[in-house]
Amino acid sequence: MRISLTTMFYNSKKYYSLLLVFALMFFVSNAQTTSMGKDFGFIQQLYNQKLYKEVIYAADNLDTSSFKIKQYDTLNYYKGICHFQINNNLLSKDFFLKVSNQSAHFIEANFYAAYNATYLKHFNESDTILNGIVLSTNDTLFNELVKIEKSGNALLKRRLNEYQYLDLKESGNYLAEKQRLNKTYTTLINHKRKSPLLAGIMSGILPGSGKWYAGKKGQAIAAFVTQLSLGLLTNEAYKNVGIKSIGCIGYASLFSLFYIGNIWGTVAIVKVADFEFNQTINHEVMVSLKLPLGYVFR
Amino acid sequence: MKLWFLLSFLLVTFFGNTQQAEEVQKADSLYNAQKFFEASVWYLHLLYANTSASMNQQAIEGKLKCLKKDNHFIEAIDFIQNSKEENITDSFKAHLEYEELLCNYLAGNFKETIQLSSNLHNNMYDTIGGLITVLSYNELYKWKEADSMVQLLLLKVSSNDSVISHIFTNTPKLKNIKKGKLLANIFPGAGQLYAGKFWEGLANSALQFGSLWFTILSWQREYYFTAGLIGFNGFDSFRKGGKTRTEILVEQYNKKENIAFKQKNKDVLIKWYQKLIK
Repeated sequence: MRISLTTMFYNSKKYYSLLLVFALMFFVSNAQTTSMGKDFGFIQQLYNQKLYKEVIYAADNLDTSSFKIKQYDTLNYYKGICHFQINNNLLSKDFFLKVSNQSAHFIEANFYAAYNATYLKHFNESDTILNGIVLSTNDTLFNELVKIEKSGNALLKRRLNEYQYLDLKESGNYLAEKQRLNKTYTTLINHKRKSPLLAGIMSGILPGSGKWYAGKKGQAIAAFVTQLSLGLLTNEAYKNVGIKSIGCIGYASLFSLFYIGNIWGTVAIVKVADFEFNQTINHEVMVSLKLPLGYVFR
Repeated sequence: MKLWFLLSFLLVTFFGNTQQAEEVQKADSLYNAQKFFEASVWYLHLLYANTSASMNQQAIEGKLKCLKKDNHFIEAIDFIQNSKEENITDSFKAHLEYEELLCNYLAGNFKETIQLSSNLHNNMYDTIGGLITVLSYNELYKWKEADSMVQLLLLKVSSNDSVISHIFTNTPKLKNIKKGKLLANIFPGAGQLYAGKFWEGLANSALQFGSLWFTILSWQREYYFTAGLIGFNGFDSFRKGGKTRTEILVEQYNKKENIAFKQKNKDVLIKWYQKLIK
């Protein structure tokens, strides 16, 4: 008797209707946890509007409870790109490296991760990521890009032999970048590093000559004229009132102060010039590494 | 069966609205906790959901409040321009025009504010729009234009407030840079005295005369290098320095006077408007 009643209930329309209502309630109650949904539409819209910080915040508030690898990949890709745009290179690299090889963005994510590692001066890590790309693709466009990125790393490490070994030929794709990198390489080869010690000694022998050697001709003339003037004043005071006079001691002290200051300044100038040269070279290399990524993936 | 479908529909609608309400609540609570960036993303998400005109308006209003609180007025202007395309009512569009005017003023785009105010066609915001225009002219030190705008504004609100109507008539008396430099050339230190710096003028005068006296004395004692390099060089430097300093001081004086006048007018105008709307 009991069995027949249960069977009747299961076969009735009421049972299915109740089931529908419970299913709906379950669905709605799930949706009620305050999140920004599950789809990437909102994130895509924010990204199109270049609201990168907003994308990161929205991505952190997505309902990921039912996410599969593919969706996590998309999420990490967006986070990587947005952190890259706001110059959080370390976080950008980490998120890009989380993108799995099942994702359509895998190659792009790895290129950007390598660029971020280069930017952070993690050259060995960058080279390892680039070697991984070579293993996962036969695409000549990507392989040429890997070569460019590795050549850039060699220049940034100032390993000119390594650069020469990579042999970046000015043909095929990315011609402008290859030319720029080769030009930078030539500049580095021809660059004669100025010695701060030599510049200091030269300034000691003839005030201004060290600055002339460092390439600061205007400052060299100014230093020479100042030193000469103070020398003439000291000499005049010495001849007229003698070595123990206040005038002579005062001018001689000033002369000595400027003389020592000039030597110290010259050494500093050579060091600063060297630093500026390296900064310019590094900047040019980084530009050559970033631009092709934009052409290929943006 | 029909009853069950109706019930299901009502349940989905109810819970759907509840979710929107929860998002509004979340955004508002973040705003109240002064987490304006986080709140603004939630408001944007509400706008993205595009459930109804009233919800969109609430979201736009919320996002704008956040941007203004964060002093992101340029972003607010962009946001307003994009929001005009959303599903919103015409009266809210008019409100957005006023918000655009205000954000331009707050962003320091005074020329754009004046230009926008001429296109403002909703009577509801005429007075505040007019006031923002006057304040913009005031910021640009365009006293004549500000004065004519004040007269128009008083006509609009049918007021004959004598303080407001004459607010831009007594403009500050400014000093002339050319006159100051000429005085500095004629007599050492006179330029600085003209710019209102008595002790500085006196010191410059003493230094110029002192270095000239030192030059002559050194020359007489046959200290020719000292006379030329220290005495005359010093005199020349103090003379040129005096002239340059006069120019800077006159500019500073004029700027200070203009800013004080501008600030005073701004305060008076805002107080007047606050009284008006009470």
